Amino acid sequence: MKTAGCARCKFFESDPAAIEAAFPGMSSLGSAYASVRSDAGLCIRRDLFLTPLKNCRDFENRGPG
Amino acid sequence: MSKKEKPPTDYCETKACADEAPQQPALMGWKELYLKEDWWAIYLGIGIVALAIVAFLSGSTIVKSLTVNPGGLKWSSFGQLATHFSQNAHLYALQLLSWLVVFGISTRIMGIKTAQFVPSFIILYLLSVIMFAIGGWVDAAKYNLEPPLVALIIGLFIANTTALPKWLVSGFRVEYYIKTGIVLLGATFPITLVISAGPTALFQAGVISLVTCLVIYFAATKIFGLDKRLASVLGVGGAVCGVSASMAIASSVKAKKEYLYTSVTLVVVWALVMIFFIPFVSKMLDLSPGVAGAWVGTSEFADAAGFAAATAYGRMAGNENIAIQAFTLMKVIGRDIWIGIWSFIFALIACLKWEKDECGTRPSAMEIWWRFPKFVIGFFVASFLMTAITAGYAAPVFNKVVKPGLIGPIVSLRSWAFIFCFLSIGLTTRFRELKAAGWKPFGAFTMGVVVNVVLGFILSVYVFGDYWAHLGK
Repeated sequence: MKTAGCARCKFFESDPAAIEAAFPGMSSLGSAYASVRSDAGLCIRRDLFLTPLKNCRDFENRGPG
Repeated sequence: MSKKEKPPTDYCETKACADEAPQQPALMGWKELYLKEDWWAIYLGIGIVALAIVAFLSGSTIVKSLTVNPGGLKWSSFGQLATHFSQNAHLYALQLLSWLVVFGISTRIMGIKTAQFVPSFIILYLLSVIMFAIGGWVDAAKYNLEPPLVALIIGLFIANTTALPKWLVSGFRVEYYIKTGIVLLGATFPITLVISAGPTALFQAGVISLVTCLVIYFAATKIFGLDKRLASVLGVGGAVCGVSASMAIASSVKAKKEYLYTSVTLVVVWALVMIFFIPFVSKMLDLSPGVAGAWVGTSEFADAAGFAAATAYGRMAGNENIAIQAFTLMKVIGRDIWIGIWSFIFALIACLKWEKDECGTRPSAMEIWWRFPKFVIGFFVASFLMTAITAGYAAPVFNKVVKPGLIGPIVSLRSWAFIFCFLSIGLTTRFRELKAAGWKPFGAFTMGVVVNVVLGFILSVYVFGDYWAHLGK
């Protein structure tokens, strides 16, 4: 059965504080708490910035919560 | 492909597989209403406007008492300044407490630690008082000591010469403060002006956005041989709304982390340059505030930086309001609100052309709404609300009663939100932490900057100069 993609993956990081920490300078003229980011986040496995609706074969369920 | 031929894994990157994946809902959904600063800026801005209206209609001075500010003192001795602060200490304490409560609670709900936010915000507030006090010096204008520029320089100096602990940036929320300020700005922005000047702003901003994006994109791909995804992140970042646009496009095209980081660095550096470049060139050329505001709106890369530039030049030229209005029309209405469409288009291009076999879930048109900068809704609501409330007043009554009693306090609170923002820009920009962009991305982006600034100048000064010079008249 298909599940939500990156959103449930343990490699997907969408916490706004973690995203701002990953991109020094981002909070100078932008914000990870902004609507424009929507749910996008970082794939720490592939070093990508992407929406959580993607799927990939490296998916590993992050478990409950 | 039949069901039997499907890949054995549940997770696929092939289009054939993705075609059969159920459409997934927006994952954040209603949580956005309390987890995103855009919505909090609306609640806070509209809340302040509603409170100001109620206080005005009932004759209460509660909002006025929160607007104490040394910026208008025109002091010439420290004694005068000291007297002002000693006489109004209780009002400053009340003001600090009020900001602390509303920003503290909202940032806590968004997930920012209160124990870090509170000391950080208190420092920000005290620095803001100092910035306003500098601006209130009788000779401040003579030395171009405009609070936005002074705040930026002092913030940059502190951030780059001292070892501020990382947690201290918790209270330096540039975007949250500028969005709150923009919603408050809506209350002083007649909706009729948006309707009458909107089409001109949209046309000018549309031209500049398209040209800038195309120049950066083709320079990056054709001249410097960069990846299309990096080119698109740089292109829209330079053309629409800087860091926010870079984030939106990076996620739409599934860009590498380093691409977004590169774009963030280039936007921050060039935006800071433009904060000083455009106002001082405008001053050299003696441009009218409306024309300079339109130029800033066309050629700045971020809202916060643009408001700093427009406010600074407006004060230099003696009409801050017109410069800010022209800037807002051009940047916020002409460029920012279209980021969802840019994002959707690039998501489609990436899916249908660049990664035909690896698209995954197809882009949804809902992307346009998900990426929409929601705080703009607050700007329009505040504008409608105030226009409706004040429509019944004749001009003399408006100028004598409504302006000082209702509009003035909102303008003052907006100035506070803006100064928090301008200081935060400086305090969060540590040059040593920015990523080295590489000369190829720098070259491509810089070509876009040059075209943007020159074309923005031509459109603002020569093509539509007469229009912007007489904005609102």
